[in-house]
Amino acid sequence: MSMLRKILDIVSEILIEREYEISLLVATLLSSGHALMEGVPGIAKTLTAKTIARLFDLEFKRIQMTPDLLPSDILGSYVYNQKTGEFELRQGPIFANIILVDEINRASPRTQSALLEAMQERQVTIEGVTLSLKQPFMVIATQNPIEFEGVFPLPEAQLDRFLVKIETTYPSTKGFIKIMSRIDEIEERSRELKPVISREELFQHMNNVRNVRVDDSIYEYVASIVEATRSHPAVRLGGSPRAGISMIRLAKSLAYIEGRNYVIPDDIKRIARPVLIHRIIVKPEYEVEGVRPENIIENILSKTPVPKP
Amino acid sequence: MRSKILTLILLILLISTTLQIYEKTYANEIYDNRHTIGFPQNITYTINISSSELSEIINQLKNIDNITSSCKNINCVQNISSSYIRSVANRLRDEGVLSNDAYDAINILSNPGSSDYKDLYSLINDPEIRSLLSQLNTSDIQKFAELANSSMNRLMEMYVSGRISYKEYAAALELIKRLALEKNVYDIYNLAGEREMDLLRAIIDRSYSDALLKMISASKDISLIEKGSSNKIFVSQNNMSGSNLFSGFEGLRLVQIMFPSIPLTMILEIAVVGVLITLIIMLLRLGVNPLEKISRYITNRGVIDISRLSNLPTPIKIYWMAVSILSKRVPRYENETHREYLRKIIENKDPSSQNFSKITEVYELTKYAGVINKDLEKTAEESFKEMSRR
Repeated sequence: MSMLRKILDIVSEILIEREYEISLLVATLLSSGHALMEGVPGIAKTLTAKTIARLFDLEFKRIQMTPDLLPSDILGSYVYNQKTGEFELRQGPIFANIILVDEINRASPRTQSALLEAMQERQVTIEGVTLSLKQPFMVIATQNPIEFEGVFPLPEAQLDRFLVKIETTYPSTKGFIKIMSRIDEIEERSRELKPVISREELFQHMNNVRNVRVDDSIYEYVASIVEATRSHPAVRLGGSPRAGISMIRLAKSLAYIEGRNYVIPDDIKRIARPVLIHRIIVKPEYEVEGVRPENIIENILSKTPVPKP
Repeated sequence: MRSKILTLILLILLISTTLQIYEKTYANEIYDNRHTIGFPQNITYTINISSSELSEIINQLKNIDNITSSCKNINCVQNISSSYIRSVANRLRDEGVLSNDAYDAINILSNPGSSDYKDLYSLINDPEIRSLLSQLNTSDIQKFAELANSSMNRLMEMYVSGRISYKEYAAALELIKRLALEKNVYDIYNLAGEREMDLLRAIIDRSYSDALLKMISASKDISLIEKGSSNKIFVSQNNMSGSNLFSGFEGLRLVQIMFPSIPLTMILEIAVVGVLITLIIMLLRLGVNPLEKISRYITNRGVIDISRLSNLPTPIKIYWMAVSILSKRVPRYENETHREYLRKIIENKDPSSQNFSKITEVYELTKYAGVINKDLEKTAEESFKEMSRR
């Protein structure tokens, strides 16, 4: 049984119609990446993140971002201990394995910057002392796309730090009815959820992901997709080399959790949208005409030849 | 979207057909309404000169008019350009713009030395004028001036009323002028010269008008609807003789009104096009895109050239051979992965789908997992053989 099948079997009763999000979050965790979840309020973004943390027996912390939140509130600071007469480090919530950063775009740019730097470097410096963060370390940030007042949109350079952007949507009517009718059971199951994969096993899986085979033609395929985003007439800023690297890493993880030790072009097609969508900036003249990054990605995928033979 | 396109096409057809019917039905009415009262419309002239010749004549008449405009007395013209005027007169007569009567009058006026008293007198047929001239010839100097004045007034009346011709009027004036000179009555001599000048100017003006009238008559009707025209609704038909009157002058071209107009004679073609469009829309609605299918069959870009496979592992060669066979039934797109193509084959319920599924599986393992072994080769070969049999 593949790792993903095992996880999905357990969480399918808690997270209704969230297979896509779960597979991407697990793949992101295995790739040592971070995920940005975007969706309207009330569609189980937080529950999804929490469930993932519990599944892997990892330490989970939640930070609710507000405009007055300071970097020290996240990273931690030295406080004076009257008993010992010394300054002691009080670690912030960043010192956990999985951090759920709720409504990341509500924090001030300064706080966002501190968090995103920690995400990239996987270490923090507090008053001149550099401290490594826990391993594995994954940030799952959420943001609400419909609010524009009192928010600080993430700069493009910082968005690039997220391996994937997961667009969370409403469940289907059938799924919605299922959620409403079984909400008590869902909450209970969520509370009682036990880890299915230990920390050690997770490290082993992460190690195995590195050994997933990628054919040369797959690298060429990814390169042609990323380059196409840069040369597309409607694009102001296309995918960076980091985007290509992210695609390969995520494709390897996705192949692994599906029980394969090799990447196929279908993996690339599946992960192209979540990896590239937040890295593409559409030219304003096309944006006003309704062109969105997802349209560009679909357009590129429909034109880029898959590896042959 | 498709229904909108269909509605638009039907609307265009309806408008263009309606306009064509309107044009056919009301063409004459438009033509009549557009005619300006008093403007030449149905005047018929015999036009036997070219536009360039007529243009030249008009220019020559303009020249003469310029010359005579500075002269008050005929003597002035006679001294300056009598030969030029005669040459123009010759041409005008030859081209039918100038009548013989007017031509003779010009000859008398421009070249008085060519005719003696007798000749001039013989040109006059009117008995009243003859009588007046006889009286003048026999009168003494004292009475001559008074009689000459009254005679010239009477001549003017007769000329204006059309009782006497140009030729007679010119001859009479010339005779009076000569008599006045003989009798040294210079006032009368000058007055007769001025009247002659007026006559010459009148003949030139008339010729000029005639020439212009010919030009207008060549353009015939002012406005006509050109039958079967889709973009020129109102045009003159001045090209009936095959040439324009002036270079660069295209007749009385009115404003071109642009609108789509389909002749009723094309109704069959319109119907055929309409049926084809409807068929295409129906096919598109049914989810069949014939153009795409045709283009894919022509290009067949999703299929690899078999000759390029020589150095590749057997399962890969077999896969592409299978694709080249299946793509004739189910076209393969360039952007389709092997799994996507397999799904399409299964969805199409192709008889080879089971064998192709095995071939694809082996291809994936060989190509992307890098697994090469005899068992896989054997599976691929057997599946391909089975597929070929079907």
